[in-house]
Amino acid sequence: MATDLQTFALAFCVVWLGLGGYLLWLHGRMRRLERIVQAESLRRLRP
Amino acid sequence: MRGTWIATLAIALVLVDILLSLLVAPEAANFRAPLTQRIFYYHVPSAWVAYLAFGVTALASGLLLWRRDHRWDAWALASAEVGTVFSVIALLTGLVWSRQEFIGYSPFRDAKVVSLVVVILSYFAYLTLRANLEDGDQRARISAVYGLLAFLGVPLSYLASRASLHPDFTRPDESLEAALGWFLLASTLVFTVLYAALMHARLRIARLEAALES
Repeated sequence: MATDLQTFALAFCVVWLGLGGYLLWLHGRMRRLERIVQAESLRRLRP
Repeated sequence: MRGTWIATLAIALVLVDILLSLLVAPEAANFRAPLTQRIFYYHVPSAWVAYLAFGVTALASGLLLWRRDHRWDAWALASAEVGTVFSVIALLTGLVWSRQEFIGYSPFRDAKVVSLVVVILSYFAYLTLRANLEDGDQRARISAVYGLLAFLGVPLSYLASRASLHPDFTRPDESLEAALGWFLLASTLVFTVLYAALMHARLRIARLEAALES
């Protein structure tokens, strides 16, 4: 059976890797969409 | 600009919360695994944020059906997504803690675990349903009805503590020590700010997607 420290470390990683991963995913998605929206508005401005 | 401000605040508070929960919060008595018990400072706030987020989804769904205002659709979706992430974290941390704390524990026979799994699956179904509906107006209305129905599982999941090994701090014989309670409250406030920051980012994504569609 895992020790108290090992179990805590596992749970700690689940929380912060999970939330950190979600935050990074949101950030990447937002940046990609911003680039697409910017490119689209530039394309519309061109004659 | 406001998004950067709330994200910075949330990250700073999370770092302080980690230090408080690891180094400052006193060791709890009456637990077999005192170090693993510290996961309460993340598990309980995650569960609170999940319930809050699903409540916001239900509220936004109700407002969409009542006012016919499609702005609430983005709120319902954003909150359901954030709530699902937090509910999975609450489930996993709870499972890890109970495995260490209780000898011979079987999660499949625990009402709290089963009810939370049902809630998580119902919100996964909500997200899948939305992803498979093409028409914007139809998608908003059907999702709003489902968003209201899915919330019925949330109070059941909360009340399942009474028929489970899950600690119920509202009971006098199971109440948490006062010093630990303050740290738990502080962590809950930090997680609520984190929810606000994630919602802000998710709503910005929804606005960008809407701008691309139009």
